[in-house]
Amino acid sequence: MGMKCKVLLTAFLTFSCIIARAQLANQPVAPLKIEESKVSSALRKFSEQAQVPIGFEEDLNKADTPLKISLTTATVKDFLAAVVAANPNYTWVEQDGVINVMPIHRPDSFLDVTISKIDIMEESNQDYNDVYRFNAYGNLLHTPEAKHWSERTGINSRIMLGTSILVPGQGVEVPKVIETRHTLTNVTARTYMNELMKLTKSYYWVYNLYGNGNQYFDLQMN
Amino acid sequence: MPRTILTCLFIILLSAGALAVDMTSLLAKAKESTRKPTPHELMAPYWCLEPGWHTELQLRNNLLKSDLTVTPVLRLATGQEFKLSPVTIPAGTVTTVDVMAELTKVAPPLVHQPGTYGSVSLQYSSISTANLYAVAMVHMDVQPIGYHIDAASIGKKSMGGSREGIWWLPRAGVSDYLVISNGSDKAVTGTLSLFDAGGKESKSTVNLGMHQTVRMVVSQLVSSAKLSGTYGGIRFSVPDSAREINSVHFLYDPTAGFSAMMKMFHFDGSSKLEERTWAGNTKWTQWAPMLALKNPDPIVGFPQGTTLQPTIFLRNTTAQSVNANVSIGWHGDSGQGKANLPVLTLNPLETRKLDIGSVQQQLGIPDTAHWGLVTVTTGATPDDVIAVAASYDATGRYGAQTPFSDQLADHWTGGLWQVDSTHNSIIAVTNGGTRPTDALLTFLYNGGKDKYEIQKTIAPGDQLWLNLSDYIHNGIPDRNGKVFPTTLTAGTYELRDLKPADKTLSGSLFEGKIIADKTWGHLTYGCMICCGYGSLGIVDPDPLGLPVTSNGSTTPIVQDNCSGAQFDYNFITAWVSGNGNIVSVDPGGGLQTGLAGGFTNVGGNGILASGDGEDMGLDRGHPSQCPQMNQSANGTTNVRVPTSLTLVMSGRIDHNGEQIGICPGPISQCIPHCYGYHHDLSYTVLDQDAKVMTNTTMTASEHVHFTGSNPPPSHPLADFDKTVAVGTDGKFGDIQAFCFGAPPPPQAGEFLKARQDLSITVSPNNYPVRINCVDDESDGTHLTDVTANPAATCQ
Repeated sequence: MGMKCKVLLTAFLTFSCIIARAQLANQPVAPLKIEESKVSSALRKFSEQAQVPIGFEEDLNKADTPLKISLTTATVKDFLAAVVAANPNYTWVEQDGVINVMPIHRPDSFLDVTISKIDIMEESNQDYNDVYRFNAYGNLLHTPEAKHWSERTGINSRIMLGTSILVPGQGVEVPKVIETRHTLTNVTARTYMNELMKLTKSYYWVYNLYGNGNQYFDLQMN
Repeated sequence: MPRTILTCLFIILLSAGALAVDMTSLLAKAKESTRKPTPHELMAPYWCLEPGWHTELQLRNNLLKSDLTVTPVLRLATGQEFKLSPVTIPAGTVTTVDVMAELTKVAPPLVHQPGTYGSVSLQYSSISTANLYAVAMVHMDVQPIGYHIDAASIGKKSMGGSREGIWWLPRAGVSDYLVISNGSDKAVTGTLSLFDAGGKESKSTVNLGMHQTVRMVVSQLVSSAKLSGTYGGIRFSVPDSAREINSVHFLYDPTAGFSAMMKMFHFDGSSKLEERTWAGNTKWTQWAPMLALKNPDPIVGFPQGTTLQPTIFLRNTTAQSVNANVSIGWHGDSGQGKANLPVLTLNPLETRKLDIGSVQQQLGIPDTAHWGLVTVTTGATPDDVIAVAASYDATGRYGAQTPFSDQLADHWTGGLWQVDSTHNSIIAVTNGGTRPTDALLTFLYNGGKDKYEIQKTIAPGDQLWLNLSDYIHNGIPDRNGKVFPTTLTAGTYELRDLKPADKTLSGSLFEGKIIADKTWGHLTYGCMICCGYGSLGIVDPDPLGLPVTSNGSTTPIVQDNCSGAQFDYNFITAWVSGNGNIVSVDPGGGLQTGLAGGFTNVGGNGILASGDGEDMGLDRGHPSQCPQMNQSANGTTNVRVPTSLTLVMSGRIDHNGEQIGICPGPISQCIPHCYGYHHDLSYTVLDQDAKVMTNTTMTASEHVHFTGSNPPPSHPLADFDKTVAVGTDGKFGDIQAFCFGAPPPPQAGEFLKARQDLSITVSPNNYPVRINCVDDESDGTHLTDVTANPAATCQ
């Protein structure tokens, strides 16, 4: 928990950050049975079932060991223990009120880049759709620190958006959306993703590298 | 100065319901009828060109705008026909036909020959029988003797009934005719009954061939039947075809200059009280609006000192005793008041003569009173008592009549009025209802092109009296500030109740008119006809396109049977849906709610002030009456549901970091930096008939499910749903975008595939309307409509 969550302007984010901290891992979960070949899939399924926010950084250096987890009386921590027991190359921490699962060895991860200043936009209609998220990633990737990291590592984002934006017809009144800006300073990309996930009431985000030379990275959230 | 008084009363009544209709605004929206013309016929039961007699036909076109062409057909008593030249009458005008001149053209030997009399048929093609007002004016040459013979429609529906009247032999030397005409195309055999005052009956059989007329002398019949007295009853009954029979009974005395019309009535026993009585009246009621009292009004020009003998005849047409209440609302120089006669009990078939003049003082009617409104109220059976009024001096030279009628209506049309150096017209409009109403008298002149309107509020039981000469010569402005041309001498007129009863449009007005002829010193009359309304049986709009879950309504189309004015009016009180699963309808108000897509019939029926019963297929009463009858209308309601979309899609629009979406806008709708492309799509919502659904509150929703991509995602791309409002034009848009957050734009081999399910919601129902397979490739989006294959995987 070495990351410092510094929240400006928004008591909401501060409050959620504090309350969630250190409590999430001990949260009891309903009996569950998860069988997945990949850690990513297992975490995603668990996050949705238990409604526990999880951020995941994929380890490309080791293939995943398939997971077969069956718990009757357990906590979040018990589930995570089962995951890392089968895949000891991963560890987890609870940070920013989010369970963060990551490789133990993760040299120069983009998620550890500190961003000096970045905004998160809160929308009054709470419509945090695919376009919103794509723009939110773009907001992160267009920071000087992110660009500098890409230049330095040669790893570039290749985040894809195929979307459909429905446009209201003429003569109808479109509800106005009010946007509230929340500015974060000196936060890591990971914290930004954690805070973004909480704001959008999502339960899972994932960061991974891909390409023949792992020259691309991707961010997804749902 | 010889004088004869003929009186005809026009009765206009508007019924009074709990609520009144604003007729002014209703008529403001009226248009010409869309009903197709059909053949119609009126018949006047008598015309005469025997030596010493002449006849003219007064024909009024009641239509709003269209000309009306009428062909008069004279029939002799034998039924032989002579077709006269057609007459084209401009809208709103009266045309006079000189029968002698016209008969001279087709059968000159008949003119002024004994036996040259009979009935006259008036034939025309129009939208309603009541488009024509017609009267035969039969005059004795160079005598103050003349009769106003109303033409009436011929009821083609066979039914039994009778003509009922009262005979009167006021003094020696008075001649009379009882004329019975058969308007049907077949022979009719009827029974003529004469009754003495006590109800003693004498019967004889009368045969009438097709179109034939029988003319009899009642005084001779009375003598032959050995009936006593100077008055009694007449009945001509037929087992069927009673509506095709018409009759008149009139008296004349050339020596004294006396003539009188003894109005006859149609009776068939099938009419119901509620069909004939309204406006707060609960018993069978008849009115005579202009009974001249003992002391005549100076305005009529009788010689100084003339004393009239106002008389009312009442006849019980039934075989039971009937109680009759008679009241006289009088007015004159000293004011006005009302006198009630003691309740009268009429024995079965009795005829009673009430000498009002002799009891005026007892009744408290002052000598200064000139006119009386006579009201006769009896029981619960229409036509159980008939009444005739007459008011003459002892010689019969001077006097007037006012016919009784039970008819109240909200629209009446009349014939000719005259105001010149030798004529004046006096009109009385009476409110026969129980609440105040607004009467509008419209005088048409200058070939129907100009009008003068008088609007007055009339209290219940009260009258509006008009001396038309005053209005013309004193320059009295009408309700619009207009004045009559001072040179104006004649025209037509009509009367409306501007506040008829809600739903039924029943009015409570009736009218009487006297034309004073200074040359002959007599008063003639002009009768109006009631118009009534006919449902066209259809509604507006038809069909009604009703979006599912929405409310809407249709309105029956109603036609004024005289003018042909057509307007939307909801008279229906019992609405019914043909399929309650498709449309529900409020039984009372007619508000419809679409429940499911499809067609069904929605309509109903209600009581409406009806016009010519023959046109409407009514099976009771005489066609010329205007009863309240059940009428119906219905139409089709098409409940519209969204079923499909049409699509117009633009070509690929490339972006190299530019924005896409609804920009500027919230970041959930606007992509500020896109490296890729987009297409603009415009969808239009169609219903099951492939018609655009406009003006409907709808939302469009999509559910997008990703089915594949390259590069493959680290985990499955999340489905998403979006919803927007559909425009009032039935359209909404879609922006199909394929972007990367950083350069380069999509490269060959990079793609994203998805299935897009589009649906339209008309709250609370949701209708799937289209399925697209979306394939975003580097060269653009490839969209495939797979709606026909709901299981399409779009991979």
